[in-house]
Amino acid sequence: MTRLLDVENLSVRIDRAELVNGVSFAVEPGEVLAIIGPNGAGKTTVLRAISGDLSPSAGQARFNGRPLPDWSPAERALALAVLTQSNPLTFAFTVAEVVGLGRTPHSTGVVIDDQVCHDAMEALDVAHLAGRFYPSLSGGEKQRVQLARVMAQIWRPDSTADRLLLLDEPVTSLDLGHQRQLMQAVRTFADSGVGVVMVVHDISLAAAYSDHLLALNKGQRVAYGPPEQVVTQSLIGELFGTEVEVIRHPRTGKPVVLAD
Amino acid sequence: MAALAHQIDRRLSRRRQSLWLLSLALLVSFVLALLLGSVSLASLDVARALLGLELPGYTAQIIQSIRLPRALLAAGVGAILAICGAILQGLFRNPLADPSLIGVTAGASVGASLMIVLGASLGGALGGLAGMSLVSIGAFLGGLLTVWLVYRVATGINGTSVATMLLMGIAVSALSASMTGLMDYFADNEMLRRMSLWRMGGLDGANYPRALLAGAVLALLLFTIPAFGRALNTLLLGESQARHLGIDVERLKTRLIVLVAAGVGMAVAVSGSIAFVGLVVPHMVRLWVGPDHRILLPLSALGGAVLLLLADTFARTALAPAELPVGLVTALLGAPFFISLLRRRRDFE
Repeated sequence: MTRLLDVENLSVRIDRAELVNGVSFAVEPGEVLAIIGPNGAGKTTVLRAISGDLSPSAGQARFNGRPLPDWSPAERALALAVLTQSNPLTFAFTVAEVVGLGRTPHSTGVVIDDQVCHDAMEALDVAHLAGRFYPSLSGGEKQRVQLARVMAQIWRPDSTADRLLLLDEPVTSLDLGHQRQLMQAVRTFADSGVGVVMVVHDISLAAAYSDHLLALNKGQRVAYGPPEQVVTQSLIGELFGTEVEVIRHPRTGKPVVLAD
Repeated sequence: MAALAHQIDRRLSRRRQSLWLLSLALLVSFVLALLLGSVSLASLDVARALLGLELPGYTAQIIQSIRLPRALLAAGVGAILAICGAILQGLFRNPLADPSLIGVTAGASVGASLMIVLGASLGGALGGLAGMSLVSIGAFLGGLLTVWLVYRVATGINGTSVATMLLMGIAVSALSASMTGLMDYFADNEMLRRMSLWRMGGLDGANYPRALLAGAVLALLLFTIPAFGRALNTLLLGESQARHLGIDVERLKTRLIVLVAAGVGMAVAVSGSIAFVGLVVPHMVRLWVGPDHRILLPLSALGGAVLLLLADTFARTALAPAELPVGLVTALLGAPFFISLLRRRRDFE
């Protein structure tokens, strides 16, 4: 069986600076992988190399068994959706229109598109904002609208390829309640057979909702595996250069990181 | 869901309403442009002249060879400028982009002047459609070079810097002014006369070949709109976002830049530089029906045609029998508008 995403020895170099060096990992359908690491570790660069914004200097990423550069943009957009860190939209689209733009790659018709957009907005708790103008929203609301747009893009399996969702810091500007809600929405989305790769800063949050963690430092892979293996006192302490305690969540048993 | 449906209904009904209203406005302003002028004509005579019936005096000639081609040219050029403005604003992801503000018009003028000088020194006959086409090609190339240059300098991965874009407009305009000055310096009397006549431009040089040329370019723009509307919408999200939605962004940008250069270049070639139509019209249409390019582009075309028809009619009649340059009227209208936009810029940045 071919894997959904297979990244082998990926390296990215920009102006002689080696941003990512020989990183490998794989994602299966239904799996959530979180990339963690300090600022400048190359997390976003890995994501951008997979999404095609940057081209690798060595190694490759295969999507549904086929090297990513071999996919035409239109074909790839049917099964691969990306949430980038900055979203510079300043024009007065309504929220419903922004989410609707996620259906651009498809020709599934108005009825299906409307239903998909509605479901995606419900999942991210932005349905009540549907008629509001996007530029008038708060940062957290914008973030959730953009995620709804990206999820609407691959909401249904519209091509034969398995679907993959790439998220760059999806929860950064959200309050505690919406962080949990968004991660739960992503988890539910993944459980419907979508692979998810995301960059997350909150390690406890990443550990609670991911199947695997990939820890990067200075462009290199320093750990890769289930959260229980990766989130240890010594590894996290060394990775971020600070003293931490790792305890178990009393209810879920997932690792939780406490800084002094 | 009810609120959503309501909101969408409202935008849809506004779109239908605006399409009807603007079409009606176009009809009215076109008729006004034929009726009003330094010689006032009866509406019945105008109708008869349009039908090609015999009329006493010069009425038929005034309509057929002066006012009709001029109205056609004004409508065509206005529509082209407004569409180009709307496309540029989408491309730059910034509602302040305008062909004249970012230097495209100036660049096109240099190209056109160069063609006039070259054409004269080649001894070519610069009359009629052939000469006009040559000047248009020069304006097109000048415009193309400018949009490309401004876009390259002002746009990075995080979008377009308004400051850089406007500063590039200043730089390009200054460069263009010095180049046209240089050409003036080396030109002989005959060329000088040709160039200064052309530069004063305006719509008073209207004739059927020019109107035909404008019509052809307008048709090109209108036919390509359906293909670009959706892609332009995704471009507003950002370049990489558009790419992730399956748009071939580089190809899209190249095509849009070529289209804008063709439109602005042609407009400059047939009517000199007419400022602010490309800024004001798409902006007002956007306030009315929202930023969706599939509806914004055709409505801008209608609005641009109406605006330039009215502005030109005003320019012809305000001080009749003398004529104001139409660019003066549009600038009088557009400059305060632009200043108010700059003041409110915080709202959309």
